[in-house]
Amino acid sequence: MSNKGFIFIETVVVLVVLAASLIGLYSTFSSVINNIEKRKQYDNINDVYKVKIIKDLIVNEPSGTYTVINNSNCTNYMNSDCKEVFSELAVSEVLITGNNIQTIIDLDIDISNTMKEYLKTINKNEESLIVRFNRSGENYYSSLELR
Amino acid sequence: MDIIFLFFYTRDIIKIGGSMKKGIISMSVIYTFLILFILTMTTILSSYIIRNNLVKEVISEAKEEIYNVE
Repeated sequence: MSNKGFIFIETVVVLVVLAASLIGLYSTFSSVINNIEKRKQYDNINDVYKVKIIKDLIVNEPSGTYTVINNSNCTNYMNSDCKEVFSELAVSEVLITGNNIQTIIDLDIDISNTMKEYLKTINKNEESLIVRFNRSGENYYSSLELR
Repeated sequence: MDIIFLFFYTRDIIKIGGSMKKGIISMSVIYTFLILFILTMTTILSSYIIRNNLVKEVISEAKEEIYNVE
């Protein structure tokens, strides 16, 4: 009879510990899901072919660790119709990197954090052309290596 | 660990209400929820991971095709 209270407390303790571990499991689960959801904005198949189109526009390939190309300076590196193409394909920014992308990630340069997050997911030892698209206020990234 | 404790104390927990039937029903409900929850999470997580890997493969093959065409 005197054990009833003890058993009840133990039950409550077990249920609390169980609930805590389930909450921990759920938070791990949702962080993995969030990570995967973020990747939806990287390397969509349409965007990969759009990057190919932009790659074909390049006339003067820039040298150096990195070059940022946008609507205002695209004619320095690409065909004269680059502005129309950028507008048509919803391109915000083009980043051309050297073969050491890790340096760009570590440097404090004027590229957005989301771009840096994307750079971490690609092959860091190849010269690459990375394009940021902006559709409905969302940024999408895609890239091709400059082989 | 907690699930092991739950199993050990099941018989005692069942006796709390003073009735074996009530105890079995409540414990069955708890176990069912637990198993369903874990199964659902595992299924969702694995489907996300499989889909992610498949898409990555398709994209890398598409990129290789583009490099080969050039």
